[in-house]
Amino acid sequence: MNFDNIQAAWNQERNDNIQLPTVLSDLKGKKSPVKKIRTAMRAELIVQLIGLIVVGFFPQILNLHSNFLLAFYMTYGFMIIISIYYFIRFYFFYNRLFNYTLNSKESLYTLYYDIKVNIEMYRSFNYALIPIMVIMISLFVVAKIPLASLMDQSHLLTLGVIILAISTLLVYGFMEFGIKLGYGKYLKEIGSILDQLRE
Amino acid sequence: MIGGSLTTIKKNPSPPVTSPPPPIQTKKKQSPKNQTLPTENDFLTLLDAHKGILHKISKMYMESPEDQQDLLQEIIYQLWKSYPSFSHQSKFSTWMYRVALNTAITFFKKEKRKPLTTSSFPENLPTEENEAISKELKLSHFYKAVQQLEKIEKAFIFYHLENYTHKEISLQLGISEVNARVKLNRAKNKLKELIKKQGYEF
Repeated sequence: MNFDNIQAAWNQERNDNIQLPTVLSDLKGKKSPVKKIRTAMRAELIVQLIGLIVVGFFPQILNLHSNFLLAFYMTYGFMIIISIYYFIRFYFFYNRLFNYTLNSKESLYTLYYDIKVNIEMYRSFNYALIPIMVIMISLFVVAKIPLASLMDQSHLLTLGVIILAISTLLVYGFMEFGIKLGYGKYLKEIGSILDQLRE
Repeated sequence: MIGGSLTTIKKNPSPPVTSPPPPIQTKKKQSPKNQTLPTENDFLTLLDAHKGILHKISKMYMESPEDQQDLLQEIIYQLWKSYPSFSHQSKFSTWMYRVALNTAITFFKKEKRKPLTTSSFPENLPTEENEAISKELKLSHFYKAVQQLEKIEKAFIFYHLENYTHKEISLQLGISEVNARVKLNRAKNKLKELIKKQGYEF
């Protein structure tokens, strides 16, 4: 086999019946990784916002004693501040455009690191929520348990460890699942393409 | 804890993230709407002149006709979106190949990477009397083999068929010239093997 033959056939390939779109504004990029990641991010934002609102009504839903309301809403305030900070950062990432006009290696690297940064941002956001969750859960637990039994130091330690373990597991589980679902596969695929370009 | 994790984020990947020039973003939104027709017509004329090559790219990267059509649409969409960044100093085709191949390379599809056993090749062996059919047959074998290559290997083969030199290929892909030469040869050999496996010789 020789390439001249292929090239001759390639050069003479007919292109009569190729349909081009006539109205460019109808075009929508649907299958690009950027588009898919954006869709995932939007869905995530909605879930997080709903979650944030629902948490705000926890004292009413779970009948938290009024003595603990101040402590609860102070923690809730922290939660909102942290969330706003991250939402702003996610927003900037969301608006950044994948540059198709760079050479392939550069554009792939840009995309790769953008996704990677976003994943790390997502991770740190979730980990930042762990202490808040610990405080909130503790508030609810303390409100339900009689004060006398709390005085027992050994119980307190066990309780603390359990609460910490539960909140860490919850956050970690949701987070890794979310990352895998929304971004992990793209990162992996782009990483493997970049490997093909290596010396 | 929070502060610590934030600073690592800021430090680590900053060089590659900040490096991409953002001019496309700002221009992109305005041009299709504000200066509508002249630009759009220019673009469509250029597109029409090069539609054959875009079709070839989508055929190299996707197996089924529906996927090929999808990819073609995506390429045109990305070209149109990036068009304001095209400086008329460089050759349109060079710019276009870049955008088109970058789109094709990052175009994700749940593809089952199984070489098809049944195919729509013409059954008869090529006879000299009908050269057109023989060319079609050659091409269908070529595309079938190319589709089994890795994404980057396809790009090498594409540039090679478009008569790009090693130097030009290396610039388009962002790798060294030596690397381009080595990788192109590897891709060519792999393609030869694949075509041989299909029981066809050019």
